[in-house]
Amino acid sequence: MTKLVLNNVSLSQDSQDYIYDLSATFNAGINLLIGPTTAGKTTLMRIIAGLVKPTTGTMTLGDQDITKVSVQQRSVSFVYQQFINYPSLSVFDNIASPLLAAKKKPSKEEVAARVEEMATLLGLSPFLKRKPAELSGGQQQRVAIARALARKADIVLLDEPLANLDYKLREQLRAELQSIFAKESSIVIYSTAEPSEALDFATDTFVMNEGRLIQTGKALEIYQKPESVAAAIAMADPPINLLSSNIDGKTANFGKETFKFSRPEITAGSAQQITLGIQPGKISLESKGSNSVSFSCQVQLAEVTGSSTFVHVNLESGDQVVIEVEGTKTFTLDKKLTAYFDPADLYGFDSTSGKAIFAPIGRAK
Amino acid sequence: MDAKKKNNRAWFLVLPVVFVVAFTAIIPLMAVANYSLQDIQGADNRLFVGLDFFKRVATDPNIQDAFARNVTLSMQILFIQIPLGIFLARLMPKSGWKASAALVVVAIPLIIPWNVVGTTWRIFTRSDIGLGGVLINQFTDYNLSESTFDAWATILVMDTWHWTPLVTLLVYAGLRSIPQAYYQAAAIDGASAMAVFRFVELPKLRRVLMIALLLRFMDSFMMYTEPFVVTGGGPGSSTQTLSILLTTIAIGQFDIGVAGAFSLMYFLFIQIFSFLFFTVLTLDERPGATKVTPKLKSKAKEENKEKPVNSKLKKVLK
Amino acid sequence: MAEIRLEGVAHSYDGGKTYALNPISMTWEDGKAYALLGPSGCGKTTLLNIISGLLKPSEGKVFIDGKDVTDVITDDRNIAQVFQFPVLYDTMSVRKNLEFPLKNRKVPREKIAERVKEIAELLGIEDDLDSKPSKLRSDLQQIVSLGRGLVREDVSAILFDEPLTVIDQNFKWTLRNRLKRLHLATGVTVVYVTHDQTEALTFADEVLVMDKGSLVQAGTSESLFLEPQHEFVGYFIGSPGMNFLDVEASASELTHNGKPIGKAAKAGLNGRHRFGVRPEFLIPSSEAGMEFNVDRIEDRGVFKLIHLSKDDFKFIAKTEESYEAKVGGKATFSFDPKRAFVYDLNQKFVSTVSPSSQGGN
Repeated sequence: MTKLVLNNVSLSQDSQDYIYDLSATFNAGINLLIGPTTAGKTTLMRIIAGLVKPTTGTMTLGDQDITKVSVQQRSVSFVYQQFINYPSLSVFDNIASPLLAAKKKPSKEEVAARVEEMATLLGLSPFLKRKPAELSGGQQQRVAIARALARKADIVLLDEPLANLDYKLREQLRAELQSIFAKESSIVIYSTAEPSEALDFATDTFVMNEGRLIQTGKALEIYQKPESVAAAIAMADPPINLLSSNIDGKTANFGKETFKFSRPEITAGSAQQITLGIQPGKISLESKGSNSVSFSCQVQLAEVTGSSTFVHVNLESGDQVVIEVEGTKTFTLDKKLTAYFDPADLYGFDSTSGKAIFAPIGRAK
Repeated sequence: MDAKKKNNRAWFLVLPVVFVVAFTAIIPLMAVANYSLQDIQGADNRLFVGLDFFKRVATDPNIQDAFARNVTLSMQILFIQIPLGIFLARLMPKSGWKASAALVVVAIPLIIPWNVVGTTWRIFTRSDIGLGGVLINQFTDYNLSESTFDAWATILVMDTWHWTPLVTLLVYAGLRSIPQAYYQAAAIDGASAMAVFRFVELPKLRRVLMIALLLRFMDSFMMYTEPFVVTGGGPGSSTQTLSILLTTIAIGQFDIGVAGAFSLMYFLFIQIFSFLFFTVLTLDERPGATKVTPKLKSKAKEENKEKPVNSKLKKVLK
Repeated sequence: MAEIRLEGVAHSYDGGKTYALNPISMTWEDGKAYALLGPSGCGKTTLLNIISGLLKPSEGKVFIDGKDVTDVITDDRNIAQVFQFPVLYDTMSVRKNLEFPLKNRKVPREKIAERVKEIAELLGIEDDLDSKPSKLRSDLQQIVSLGRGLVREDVSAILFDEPLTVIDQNFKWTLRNRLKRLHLATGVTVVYVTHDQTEALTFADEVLVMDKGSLVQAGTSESLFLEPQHEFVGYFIGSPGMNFLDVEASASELTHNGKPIGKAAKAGLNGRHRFGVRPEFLIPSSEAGMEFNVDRIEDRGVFKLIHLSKDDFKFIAKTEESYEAKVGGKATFSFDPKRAFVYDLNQKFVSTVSPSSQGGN
């Protein structure tokens, strides 16, 4: 199997650093890049595509060093967030364009066969004679994806390809893309800012933050066992609750509450400051048994989605916490509530370095 | 993946252009440079004079006058044609057959050859048989071969008629490319028509106007045919542009050395002026000005840690 | 603050051949938050522009506080609007941009400074007030755009046209909360256009679901989720959307390929219909129910999506994280009788459905 390996790749321009010393291995199939807008995902993809030369570091594809290979010579296709197609060409010609640009021109029949294959795969067969402007946004993006796939490039880069599409269309295309890429042998690198997309693809995931690769692994593993606060934030939707806490191996506190808390990762007797994290869905308004820790809070806002309600509450200390409650519940503003959580569901992060200290108990490694 | 060397064959496609440019620009320019440094008396009789001709050009009162005249003319042209062009572009219909019709009408002067424009205006302004000349004479004395003012004004009006459409077309294209949302936002913000022009249209037209300014400056500073046909540079030398004077020196007086030095200085002046002009106007668009830096990110992160907004809100909302 | 009323408002961009917005009559109550939700091209932006006066409807009338404003220009309607992409005045600093709507309305100088400071604090852009917008990141630019919409105190309504499209996922939550709180505190009427159901449902008191130029259903998030009156609402709201199945009704007994599915609560139902149940209300059951093959399990961290198939159809069930099943094995699911529905051929709600007592086999 061909692999794309990045060794200590970095990029700085005008004394600004964009990518810091990044090493990663991308296998055939879908690789997911996730991180906030300025994490450097697009920059990294541009480096992989050969559009930007890295300041230091090397890239190898299989056993070949491609660091100095120009973009024209790399077997790469790129799909952008905006739907980019040739406006004056028909859908057929758009999909055929990368085939015709190849050094060894394929025969007419070969081109037609490959275009047909791509069109069938992406559900574009009825539209082959139309111009891109006569298609809906979702169809236009499918044409762009078909074009990227048509030439069987070794590396396919998709930069937030669904970001400009409707919510429902995204859901549908996500499912389609998964089955399409399952059939291709290319190395696909797919960037997104949405945790739900990463969890949906459930594949090798690379979390980026501020130009660094901060964690790799399966999406669900990262979600359950983030190595840093930044990774926890990048993978959480709705956002994870973060509270600062003093912990000494026997007890922990947050806001004005103190509770019994011990973990093997914390040496007893040594007081330290950490950041506690908990998913909104892990806090409830009913006691979860004898282990539950309770705290009182005041309702600030309730957001109803139908299937669940997000209650935003203030602690007595002024800290804010979001609680996800099943179903639809109405809350009056400023109402006092008692909320519960199980300390086993807590994440702990070093409050200065952000490194994870402990993760919820009973979760997969 | 194929890692062989870059294919450079595409450069051969540029060769024809290189040849053409060599014959049309580089070689003649070398010849001019050659003339400007030597006093050529005959085929075998030449004398290297260094920068003497350049000094003569710089101190010649006729050339100095023509230079001042040409700068004045160019400034007046820019001052009239740019605002007028913008004004006309804003009046033009935005869509439908009316827009197409207006575009055709506006573009007519642009597709008439220079000397035809000159000839047309020469006849049009004649005080005995010209439609314009006779008409103006009904109200006030008008004769461009006698009055310097009349001659100057005629050149200005003619050039404005000929070239304002260029500004209009450029601005029209610029205006059409402004997204509708900007006008909508301005309407919602309660902006006056003047404010919309100043804060929405003018900033968005910046690049287009810069091109219009440059083109109009260069063209007007090199103006030759039309005044040559209409006034011949007169009366006296009142409408003699640098180009007309240069031609007189080169062909009329056959003073090749001075003409060569003059041409080079003329050429360099336009080059340098245009370059400075462009640089100054694009100063804050230099690369790096809008770069997204990873460092900015930390701020967004702070945002995520919700500060106690409520107290602030209550204040904001009374 | 104002009440906005639409009477038979419709719009056609091509002189009546096709309608981008079909006739709609409704009242937007003073102080409530509304969301217009639908896929792109459903007419929601057209409707928004009609309210703000940027577009004159080809039919019908618009009233603000009982006054006919159909022919009143935007400037005089006293409405603020925020667009999908940053729309800023390039030559002005962020501060000048925020001041602009107030200056145009001759608000006193001290008041302007105070107000701009408050809004900048609220949106967290205090440090950027003196920068040029072009020097800011695109999401910060959008926040400035948002600020310009919020800076006026006297508006009748604030209209948002997909304002958070370019904002980062995590920050979206924060901003939405601030907008929501701002709404609660000011009591100004808000209309929020979006294609993102989470955004619509969490933000609005009432959500109007639109499709193909028509209003399909209006209601609270709860009613849209729990009692979709139209198949489109079932499909569009909820992630994943509702499971649908063609059924044949005979004296209210619903069958698919001759196999019983359930019984409609409404008596005397006959002919072709569609059965719909949300993934959330397909409940794992140990006794009675329908037996499915388990095709795939998606573990999303806080819940699981179970992809089920049976004969010629597929369903998705959303279960607790603790639910266990074997891929390739069998699983029995029942459904909540209050939360399963049958729709007619016009996709309209007909009745609720209770599970067949036979267990569906």
